[in-house]
Amino acid sequence: MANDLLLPVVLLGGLATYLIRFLPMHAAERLNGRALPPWCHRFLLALGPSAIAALLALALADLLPIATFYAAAPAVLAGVIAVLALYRLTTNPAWSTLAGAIAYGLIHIVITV
Amino acid sequence: MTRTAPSNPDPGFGFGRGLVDSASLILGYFPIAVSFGLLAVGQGLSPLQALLVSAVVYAGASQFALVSLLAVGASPVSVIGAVAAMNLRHLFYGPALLSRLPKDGGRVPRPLLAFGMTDEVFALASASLTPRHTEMWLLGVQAGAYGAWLAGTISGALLAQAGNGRWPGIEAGLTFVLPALFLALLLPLLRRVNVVPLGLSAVTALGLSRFIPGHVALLVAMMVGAALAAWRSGDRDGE
Repeated sequence: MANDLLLPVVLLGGLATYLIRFLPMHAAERLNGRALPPWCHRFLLALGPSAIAALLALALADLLPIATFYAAAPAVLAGVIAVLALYRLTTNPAWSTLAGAIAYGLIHIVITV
Repeated sequence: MTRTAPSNPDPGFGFGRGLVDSASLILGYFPIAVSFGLLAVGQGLSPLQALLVSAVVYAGASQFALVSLLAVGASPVSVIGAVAAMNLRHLFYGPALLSRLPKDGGRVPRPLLAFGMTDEVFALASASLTPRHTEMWLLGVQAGAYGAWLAGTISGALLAQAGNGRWPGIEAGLTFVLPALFLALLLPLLRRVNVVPLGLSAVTALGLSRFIPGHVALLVAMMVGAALAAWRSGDRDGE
C-alpha cells in the first residue's frame, strides 16, 4: 500500500462521510422542523425501525449463504432463540446480544468440530 | 412539525445514562473493530495508521473497503467515491433523529452529534428515544460506541502485529454479534401496526441485495419500508 496516499485518502474519505452525516442534519435544523409536511415527519419517524429491519435481514443473509444454508442454519437459529429468550427475560439489548453471540458460537463449534 | 409527545427531558437521561445504554453497541462494535484492526495491519498499515482510519472515517464497512481498495492499488478518487457511496444511507439519519430529540433542555452542537451518527447509533436511538431523553444522552451513546470502535481497532492491530493467531470459536461467536444486536433492537419496536412495513423493508433488502451492493439495497429498503409506514399512518390519521 502506498503510504503517501493513505493520509489524504483517509482525510478526504472521513470528510465525505462526515458531510453526508452533517449537511442534512444542518439543513433540517435550519428548517427547524416546522416547515416539514406531516407525511415527511411520519417518514422520518419510520426510517429508524425500517433501517433496523433491513440491517437485520442483510446481516442474517450474510450468515446464511445458499450454498451452506443447512450447515449454517442451526447456529443462526440457536443465536436467534437465545436473543429472543434473553430479551423476554431481561428486555436488555446488551444481555440479549451477548446471549445470542454465545449460543451461536457454541453451536458453531459443536457443528464444525 | 407536529410532535407526537410533549418534550419533557429528564436530567437522569443524560450523558452517563447514554454511556450505560451504549453497552449493547460497545459489545457489537468492539469485535468488528478488532477485525478491522487485524485486516488493516494485514494489508500493510501500522497500528497507528489503522487507528487513524477508525478515528477519522468512523464508518465500519467503508473502512474495510478503503483499506482493501488501497491495498490493491485503486486510485484515490475511486476509493473516496466508494467510501462516500457506501455511506449515502446516512443522509437521512440526522433529520430523522432531530425530529425526535427534545425541544427543550440542553443542546449539543450539531457538528458534534453528526460525527457519531452511525447505523447502530441511529438504530439504538430510534429504538430508545422518548421525550425524557436529553441530547446529552445521545452524545453518551455516541461516545461509548466511538470509544469501543477505537479500542477494538487498536486491540486488533496490536494483536495482528504481535503475530497472534485467530481463535475460531470466539471468532464464530463474534460474527453473530451484529445480527443479535439488530434483533434485540428490533424486538421492542414490533407492533401489529408496523409488521408489514418492517417486513417489506427486510424483504426488499434481501431481494435487492442479490442484484445490487448491500449498502444500496439497505438505502432503498429503509426508504420503501418507511414510505409504507408513513402512508399507512397517514391513512389512519385521515390525511
